[in-house]
Amino acid sequence: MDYKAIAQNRLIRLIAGRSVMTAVTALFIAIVVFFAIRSIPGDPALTILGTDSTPEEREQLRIVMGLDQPLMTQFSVWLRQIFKGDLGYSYSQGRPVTDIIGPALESTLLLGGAASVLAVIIALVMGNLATSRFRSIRRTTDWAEAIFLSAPQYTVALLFLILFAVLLPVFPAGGLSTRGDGSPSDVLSHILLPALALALAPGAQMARSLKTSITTLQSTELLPTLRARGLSPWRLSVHAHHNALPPMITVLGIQVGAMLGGALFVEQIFSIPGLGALVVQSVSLRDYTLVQAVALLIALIFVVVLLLADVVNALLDPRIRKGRA
Amino acid sequence: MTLTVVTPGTVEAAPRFRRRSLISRTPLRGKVALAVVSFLAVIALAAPLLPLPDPLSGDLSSRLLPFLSDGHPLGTDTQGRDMLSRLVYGMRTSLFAGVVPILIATLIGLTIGTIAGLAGRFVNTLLMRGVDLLFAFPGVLLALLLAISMGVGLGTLILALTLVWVAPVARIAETEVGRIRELDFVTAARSSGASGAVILIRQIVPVALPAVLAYSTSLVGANVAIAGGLGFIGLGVPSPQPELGSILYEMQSAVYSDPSLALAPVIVILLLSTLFPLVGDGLRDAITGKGNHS
Repeated sequence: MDYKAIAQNRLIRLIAGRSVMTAVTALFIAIVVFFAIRSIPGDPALTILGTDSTPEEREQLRIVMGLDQPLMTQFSVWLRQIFKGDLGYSYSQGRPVTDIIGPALESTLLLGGAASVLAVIIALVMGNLATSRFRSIRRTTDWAEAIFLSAPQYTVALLFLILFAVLLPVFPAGGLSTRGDGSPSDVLSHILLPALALALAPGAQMARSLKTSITTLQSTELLPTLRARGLSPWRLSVHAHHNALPPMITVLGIQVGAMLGGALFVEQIFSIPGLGALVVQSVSLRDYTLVQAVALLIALIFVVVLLLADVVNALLDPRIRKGRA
Repeated sequence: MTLTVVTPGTVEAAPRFRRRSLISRTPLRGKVALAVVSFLAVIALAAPLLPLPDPLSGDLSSRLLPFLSDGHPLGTDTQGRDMLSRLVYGMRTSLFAGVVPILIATLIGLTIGTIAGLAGRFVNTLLMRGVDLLFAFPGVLLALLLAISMGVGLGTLILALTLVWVAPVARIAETEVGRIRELDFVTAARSSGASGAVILIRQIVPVALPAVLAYSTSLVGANVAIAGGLGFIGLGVPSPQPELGSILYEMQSAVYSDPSLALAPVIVILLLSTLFPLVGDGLRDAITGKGNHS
């Protein structure tokens, strides 16, 4: 193998560089999550065993949990266990954390995936309306964009729940399915409202980026030139959107963070058994092993998504893709 | 017809004098939002002077009264307390938890950003990579972790929220300062022998500050949203002090029986969270001169 050629390949270098940054960030996340949870006031042993336990019993549990060790030792033990795929034991659910996280991760990915698809649709519609020839359409879109961008997801979710599931019961009010057979239409009707609540802000943010790209493009000679060469309006539009794609992917990557944060509340409101609802429930049950694991997972998903967005952008850029140094 | 003579050496002066005030140059949308925000803020501040029933005591026999009930224009909550009064007092707490962390974070972030923007490459990289690391957390998650690690209370909530917003402010401040220090009037001041401190205080900060403050104003909306979210999951200001998020949490149990009653707190949080960014965007447009066209 030609190692020198590989080292000079821009794509590989870029991915390697970003991966190192991601690893550093992931370590930082682990540190913050660990020390945040460890500095929670109160004795974990007391929380688990209750006030009628004897001091000896609590001391015993503290030794079992490793809480008598120095903090740095506890941290390295915790980190080593994570690499072995052991996220600890949830006392509130009486199961290993890994068993609980699997299905929750599935629900959150389903919700996040649906929200991302909706966000792209919203962005395409709003971005094009925002560059419309008609002033009134542009202004209306501008207003909608401003509101979508800053409306907290949980207020939107509650608004949707009250309007479209309670006052006008067109959609089911919670859960992921009623029939439980996983039929697409059933799941879709359950996921639409929560996904839409999560999709408004990312959609509007991407629409803004699309609008900027299209306006910039309109000030150049590219579109008139292509039109003069006889391209159909459809092909023109494809060309106009092609350049807008990379910044939109970056925006979507960043907005996944907002979606994951919003999922904390939205999943709770729509009773979706995902990671967000799991964090909120385990906080109120003071099951900090579970909070720790899920918070870590959510933050890691976000970092990996950011890495993926960078890689996809690099692959879309022909200069980088062809690997010229 | 007047002739403007531009000599080759002419440089733009630091814009110290403005012809029209910032607010008058804000686009209409920003002005309207500012008016509504000010109105809500005045009501929240004057809450103890207003003829409102006690937000903390309720009559359990008159729980969940509908809108426009006798003496309760917005009805009552699940414990029979007056909803209007709770929303006004809740807004008081939420605005406090919304504005104060942003003020502190702006001070810290502005300092970090200015140092990073002016310092050499090494210090800049060090500071900004640190800031980047904080961006790795979804804001709500970071706030949640900090809030539980420090224990529930108004003081710890303020501290947790402050830590969430330092990084965004620092990033904007760094960009602004880095941009301004390359501008002609700064070069002119430097070449005319002004000291570093004078350039910083007289040339750079006055230009960077409005832009950063406009951004911070927008952030208040997102911060009110996060504070409300933490209240909604029981990590905000401890009860019985009314706060918009915890009001929302209490009313969530009434969503199915009395859906319209639960709408009131939803709309107040929605209003506060969207108005501040509208004000911030308006101020930004006024500063960059974009508002002059509409």
